[in-house]
Formats: sequence, C-alpha cells, structure tokens
Amino acid sequence: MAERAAVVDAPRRARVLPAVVAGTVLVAAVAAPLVASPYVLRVLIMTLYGAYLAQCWNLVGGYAGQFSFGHATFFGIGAYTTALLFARGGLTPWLGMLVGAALAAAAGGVIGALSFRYGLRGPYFGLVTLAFAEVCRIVVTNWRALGGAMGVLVPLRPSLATFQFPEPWAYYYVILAMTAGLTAAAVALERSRLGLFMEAVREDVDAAEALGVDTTRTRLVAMGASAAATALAGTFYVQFFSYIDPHLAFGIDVSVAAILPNIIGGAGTALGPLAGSVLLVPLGEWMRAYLGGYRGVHLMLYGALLVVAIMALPHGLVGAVRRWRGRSR
Amino acid sequence: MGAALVGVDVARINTFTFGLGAACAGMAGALITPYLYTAPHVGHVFLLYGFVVVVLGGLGSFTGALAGGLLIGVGEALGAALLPGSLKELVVYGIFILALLFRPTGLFGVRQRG
Amino acid sequence: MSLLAVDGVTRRFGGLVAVDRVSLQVHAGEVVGLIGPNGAGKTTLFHLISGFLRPDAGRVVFAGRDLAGLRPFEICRLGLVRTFQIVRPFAELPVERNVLVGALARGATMREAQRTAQECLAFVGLAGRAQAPARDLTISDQRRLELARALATRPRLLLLDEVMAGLTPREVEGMSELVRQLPARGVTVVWIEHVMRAVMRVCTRVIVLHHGEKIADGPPAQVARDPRVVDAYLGEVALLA
Repeated sequence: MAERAAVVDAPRRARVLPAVVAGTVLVAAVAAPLVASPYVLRVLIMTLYGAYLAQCWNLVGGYAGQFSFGHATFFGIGAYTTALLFARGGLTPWLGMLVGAALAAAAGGVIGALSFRYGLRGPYFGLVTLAFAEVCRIVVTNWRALGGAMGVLVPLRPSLATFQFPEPWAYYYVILAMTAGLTAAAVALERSRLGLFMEAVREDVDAAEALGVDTTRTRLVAMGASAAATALAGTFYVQFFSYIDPHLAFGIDVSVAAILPNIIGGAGTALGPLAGSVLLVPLGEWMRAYLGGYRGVHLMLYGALLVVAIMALPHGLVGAVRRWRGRSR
Repeated sequence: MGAALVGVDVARINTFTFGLGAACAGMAGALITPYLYTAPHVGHVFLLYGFVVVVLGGLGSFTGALAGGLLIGVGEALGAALLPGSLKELVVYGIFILALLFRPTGLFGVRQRG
Repeated sequence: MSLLAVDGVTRRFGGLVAVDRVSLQVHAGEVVGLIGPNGAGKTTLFHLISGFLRPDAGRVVFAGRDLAGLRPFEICRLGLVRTFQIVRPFAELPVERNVLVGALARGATMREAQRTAQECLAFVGLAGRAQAPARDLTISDQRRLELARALATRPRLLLLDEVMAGLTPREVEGMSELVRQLPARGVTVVWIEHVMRAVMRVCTRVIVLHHGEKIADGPPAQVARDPRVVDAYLGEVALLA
C-alpha cells in the first residue's frame, strides 16, 4: 500500500519540485531590493541584464542554430535610436524603444534575407553578421550628426516618463520583468510549432526543407524577433548609464557578451542563458573586486576559467544536466 | 574522420598547424611594429582583417591569401586616401560582405563541404 | 493521368552530364524501383524532382502541376516528399519531435499532428522509443525514423533513397514489408535501392539508369533479363534473381 503511494507520488514530485524552486527564486528575486546593499543590487542588475542579452541571442543562435557574431548591430540600433530620439527629439524612451526594436527587426530581416538567400551558413553567416556590426560602428563613428566618436550623452531628467530613475531598484524591477518575460517567451517557444521548426532548422536545414518547413521564413522570424529583443537591451543600457558611444554600442564586446552565457549555460534552453549569466557576472565582479589590484590578473583568470568551462561542458551547464538525466539536449 | 581512418594523427597535425599559424601571426606582428603603436588591443582590427583576407582569397588556398591580402591592403590604402576619418575600414568590410554574398568560396578557394 | 511525369530532364555539373534527357511516368498506387550502378544519376534525379536542384532542361509535373521554380518545402506541401541517402535525423531532438516536424509542416494543428506522429511511429515500429534522442538510435531504427518522418507529411508520392543500406537481412525483410504496405495507405513510391532482392519482390515496375540515361523500364522480371541491364551491372545476373 505504501509502495503504491510512493510510485504515484514520484511523478507528482517531479512536477512539483521545479515549480517550488521556480516560485522560491521568483519570490527571492522580487524581494531582493529590500535586503540587498546598493552594490549587490548593481551586481544583480548586471546579472539580469547579461541574462536578458544572452536570452535574446539564444532565440536565433541557440534555438534556430544561426550563430550570429554581430548582435551588437541590433543592440546599437536600439541604444542609439532611444538615445537620439530622447536627447534630440524629446521622445520618451518608452516609445523610443519600440521604434528601436522595429528598426532592429528590419535590420535583422535585411541581414537575414541577404545571408539566407545567398546560402550563407555556419561560420560564413557569423562573419557576415560581424562585418555588419563593424560597418555600423564605423559609420556611426564618422557621422557627426549621430554624435560621432564622442557618442551621445543622455540628459538627466529622472522620472517615470523619461525611463530614468534616481534609485537603482526601479531599474532592477524593469530588467527583472524583461528577463522573466523573455524567458517565459522562450519556454512558450519550446512548446510551439515555430520553436520546433527552429530546432529542426538548427539540426538539419535540408532535411527540414524536405519535410515542408519554410526554412528561410523560420530563420527570418527568429532573426527579427531576436533583433527586436536585443534592441530593448540597448535601450536599457542607455537608460541605465545615460551614455552611449559607437564602441559601447556596436563593439565586439557586446556581441561576445550576448553569446558567452549561452556557451557556458547551454544554448537552446530557456534556462541556459540565465545559468550562464549567474555564473559569469558575479564571478567576474568578485574577481575584479578581490584580484583587480594585480594588474589584470582577474581577467587572465577569468579567461582561463572560460576555456576550462568550454572544454568541460561543451553543451553548457544545462545541457550537461540534461544529458546526465538521460533526456535529449 | 577520413584522415584519421587512413592513419593520420589528426590531433597532432591540428596542434602543429595552429602553432604554425600562431608563429606566422607573431612574426607579422613583429614586422608591423615600426608602423603601428604597441598596445594590448592593436591586434583586434587585424583579427577581422585576417578573416576578410582569407575569405576573399578562398579558404584553403595560399595564392588566394596572397591575392586577398594585396587586394585588401590596396583597398584600404585607397579608402584612406579618398575617404575621411576611419571610413577606410568600410571599404574593407564592404568588399568582405560582397565577397561573402557573391563568391563565398573566394577567388581561388577550394570548395568546402557543408 | 500520371501522378508524376518527368519529361526530358537533364542536369550537368561542369562537363559531366549527371542526368541525360530522362523521361518517366509514375501512376498512383505503384511501387516503382529505380536502380542502376553507382553514379548512374539516381539520387541526382531525386534532387531534381524534389526541388533541391534545378534541371538544365526538361520538366517535372506532379499531379498536373509543373514544379519548376518551386522550393523543396513547397513541393513537400503539394504532397511529394523525399528521404535522404545518408540518414539525416534531427539528432538532438527526441524521436517523436522528429516525426512531429513532418506532421506539422502541412498546416495541421498541434493536436492533429501529435496523433499523426504517433500513428506513423506505430506503423514503423518505433512507438516504444518515442522519447529517445534521435542520435541514440541504431542505423536500422534511424532509417525507420526517416520513413516515419516522411510519412507524417501525408504524402501522395514518396521518394525513398536507399532505405536499406546497412541493414541486416532480417531488417531488410522488415523494411520491405513496410514499403509493401504503403500503396494501401495511399502512398505511391519511387524507390532507389541496391538491395535487389527487396526491389524485385516488392516493386511493381523497375526503371534502370546508367550514366544518367534511362536504359530500361518495365516489370521486374523483364528488366532482370534485359541484356543492357545485365551488361550495366557487369553480368551480376545472380543479384537480380
């Protein structure tokens, strides 16, 4: 009798446990600003921001398998659109970010259309996206009207309407909402028809095409959605730091930052970018704080840890956990 | 895998080739020092240019790399002469994007599988 | 009217003529074998019919519709699906989701598609391995998966490319039986195969390609005795028995 209860309970426990964990994490996340010091809060904000940016890339790079090395293009478009529309035109960033997202989606569509139509795959696709990001950086650097190399300084007028807050906790809740929302979207994607088509395209484009999947459209949708979401990350950055310049917006650091947590945490999973960011951002911050005095030792150590992590966990942390539990990917 | 099956020590060849490439890059860096200042991040732009040259010339072809290098070098110099500021880099990236779109195998490239 | 009409289709690669003015017809309900020595142009012909390659000359008409300029996924949605010579499973996805891709692509709802997927998996005998990642399957099971996936698109015409390669005699029997049942399910089959035993027993008609040209087209027994066919296979009459 007790045996039977145990057998029935096991699957129920398997469903309840993740829900309990998720609930606890969510409650803790919402309550964090009440107990955290300003410094810790800042680290949390940067962690969530890193997770959000990585999740954006995950849509097209993890699920659809299109390895973009130029996500900075979309980030920069979002950042500059918001900054310029506000600084020069007085448009509230809440609307400016929608404009930025639309422009970025269009850019993603153009880059995608060119690449997929000309059959660019794998490293070639990555290089084209990288080239576009660099082109943006150079063009903006040399365009005085857009601020040139000096960038754009966003005037400080804190209020809800201007998406500027004197206290960090407001930024925290914004980025928390963004990250939670995008992650929920990723979970929904995994269960949807579009998500399955994206994964099929990732695994084998020709086989997917032979089975009736419009692979070009699928990849374009992934690119557009990813680009739009990335633009919002650019907006958040500008609102948080009140400054943007071509290197910060379109530089390779941004593109790398979008990819790295996915490699470490596990691309193509909803939690991968989150896990990756949670591992990387506080670690990087901690190392800088405690080892930063020794002339960049913290960076060397960080780099070394990255190499070890990639060698040990080729499918990322979440991928490794899944394989250990016997499930696919 | 085909190479491994016929007795080629793939890991050793890979390591050796990578090392050789690194040595060449190091030599190039040393040679260009009189023309460029020395700082940790100067290599960044050459990273990208390296990709551009190789793709333009064609992966797997030494002649291609030479031809690509010359083309990019001349292209950049012309760009610097004709265009203001750092726009000369646009010439390089422009050539790159066009090459990738219209001739991804490069000028002298060996067809790659997949 | 024929289900598939290939008319004077030609394809060159540089100086090599891979497919040379091939014409053939397939009628609903047939199981047509497509045989020929390696390099005869059989798979190239499949690429041309299914939209992965454009013919240099000639037409392909399926169910009265000229397929010129259509992309493979559009051709699939018209009811013509092909498998690949080397299995191409969606390796990281579970078996069931592999088949689901095929079931969904023609516009079914998720619920309908899941039913179709389960049914196709049951047909090929993979129902028990529905959650296993495709990369963990044996070659025999991967070929069954390839078949299930194609069937999930509810095709009218199925182009099977060497579905028996690498199978043991027992597995060949199993697969032959599956192919034999296809016309009863409303699926007409054109089948590239090297395992002659299976072709001769299951096919209603056999077409032979050699150096890109069609050299024979008729019932299996007749084709097996055709001197040109025997010559192309260098006298391996025993194989064709």
